[in-house]
Amino acid sequence: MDPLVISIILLLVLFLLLGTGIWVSFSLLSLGMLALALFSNAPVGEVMATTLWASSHEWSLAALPLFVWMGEILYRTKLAEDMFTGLAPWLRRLPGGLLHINVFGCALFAAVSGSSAATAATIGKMTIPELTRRKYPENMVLGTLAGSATLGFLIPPSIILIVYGVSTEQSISRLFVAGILPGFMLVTLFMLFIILWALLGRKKLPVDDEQYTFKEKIYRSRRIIPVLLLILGILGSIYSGIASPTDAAAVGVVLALVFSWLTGSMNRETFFGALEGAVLTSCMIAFILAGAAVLTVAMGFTGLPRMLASWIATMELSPYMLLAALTAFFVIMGLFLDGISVVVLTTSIIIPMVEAVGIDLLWFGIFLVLVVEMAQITPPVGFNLFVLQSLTGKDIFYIARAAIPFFIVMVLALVILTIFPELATWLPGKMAF
Amino acid sequence: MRKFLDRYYRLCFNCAAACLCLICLTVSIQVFFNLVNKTSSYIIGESLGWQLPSYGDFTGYFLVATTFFAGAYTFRVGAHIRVQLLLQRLGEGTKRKIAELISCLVVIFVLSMGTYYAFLLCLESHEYGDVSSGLIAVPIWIPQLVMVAGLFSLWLAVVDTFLQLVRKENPPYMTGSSSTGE
Repeated sequence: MDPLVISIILLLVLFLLLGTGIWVSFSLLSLGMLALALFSNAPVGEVMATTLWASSHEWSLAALPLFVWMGEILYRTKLAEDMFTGLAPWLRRLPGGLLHINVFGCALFAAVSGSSAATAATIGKMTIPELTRRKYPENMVLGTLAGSATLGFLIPPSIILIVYGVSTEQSISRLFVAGILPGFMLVTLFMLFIILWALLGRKKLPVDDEQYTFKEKIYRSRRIIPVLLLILGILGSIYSGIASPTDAAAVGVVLALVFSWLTGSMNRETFFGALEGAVLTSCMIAFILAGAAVLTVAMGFTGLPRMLASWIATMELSPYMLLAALTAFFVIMGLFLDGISVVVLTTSIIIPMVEAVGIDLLWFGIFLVLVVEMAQITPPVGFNLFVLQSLTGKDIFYIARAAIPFFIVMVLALVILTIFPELATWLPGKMAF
Repeated sequence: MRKFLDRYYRLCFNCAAACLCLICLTVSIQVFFNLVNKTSSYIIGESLGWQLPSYGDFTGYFLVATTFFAGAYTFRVGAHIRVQLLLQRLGEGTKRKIAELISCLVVIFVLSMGTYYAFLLCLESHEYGDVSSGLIAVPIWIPQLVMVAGLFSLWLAVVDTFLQLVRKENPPYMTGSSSTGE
């Protein structure tokens, strides 16, 4: 059968499965089984069982529940709250004032957490009440938060990069390093946007009358020390060579437990709450990954990705054209699916095409993360929007509208990353391993 | 029966949580060993070579246990994500129930096959005496049996949910505010 016809049938079935509300992991699994049964000669059951097993006992995947757990611990303890107190005195003088705390807080928290929903929840929980109390305009408060929380995926450690690395067999440490510069770039762009916005419409902003002497500022900053140590512990252990990303995740959990215990916010309830939340979330992700693995293997048996790749190759698209087409496709997918599902679907079908036009898979990982980040703030399905909705009670379309400028900033970042691919590839190239 | 099943799901979930702690413990010990090795190569010029035998394998097996033991409870509380757009449109009435029943049926079919073939895989590993390749040779069928048990519990949870829907009861993920997680 014509590969194009097969792809269209499978795509329709996928939308049907997802649309009727079948759990994402089982939609992927059923689609994989269907593809095996209809378009290949492979034994469906055996292939499924072997793939389920092979994809779930991978050692490098253990980083995932551990990073999720660490995020849960930070979410439930005072470590994150302390960041507000520590950062506020330094940022209030910039045009845009304390709005920058959303960007900075998210960036810092992203460096200890792998997920953007966790980042939105943790930072939002402390900044929304504070900023609203100081009468910052609500749409900017929510927009900056929705936008900068997506940094959780880009700045290492990152759950999405682990998922991408495991499913495309790229080195996770290299992917982590590749995310650093684009992460900084996005932080800078967000801050520039806030500054620009503030300079153009100054009167909308409240005047902050709290004054601090330099000494007070330094003294109050001591409260971000635990978080900084945590970042140092995680990244330090990876790049000093004593720990792989999986190992570093365990270091992160232990440090988070120790610091939260030292600062007195760890008790039985927080401990077990964090553990339970971590198991729930990582179980959900692991099932999606297992389902996606079956789909990937099934796709391999049908030969579909290869056919599509050669089809794309005959069209002699330039990489830019392909990227533009893929971006449009991802943004549309991202309207309905969450980031991880987008990534796993991509890796089963699109990676061969991307390789066919000669795009570096390391760079493509970072590109994909940026696109997925955009998906996090597009309605009707966007996890950051869900999180902010549950924090504020505002409707997700209102929040999404507030986030539009930041969406545009991210498109700009995407363009910059495409024009200057070195942003992602230069640092990993400097690595010894 | 209701109480018994709910307790069973929770018990499996607690095992999963314990396994996550074991992952953290195993990995932390190995990191500590790495640290010792690194320090000793600075001080006495050679690494002490401390190593947890087969630590990668064990971490992987604990991960299998974490994932599959947690499956049933995670399903029951609605933490597995799904596209809710159409479902929410259907409201709380009969149409929604039918949609839920269809979803459950599809999952039951997939899981029946999954559990059965996973069990065959496990039997096969047992028959051929497959062991892991690390320093400590773990018979592969043991962790595979964990996967089978987890898949079976999940199957049970979905069948349980299906029957609840047939009896016009609301499964827990429809009544409580379902957490989405990520």
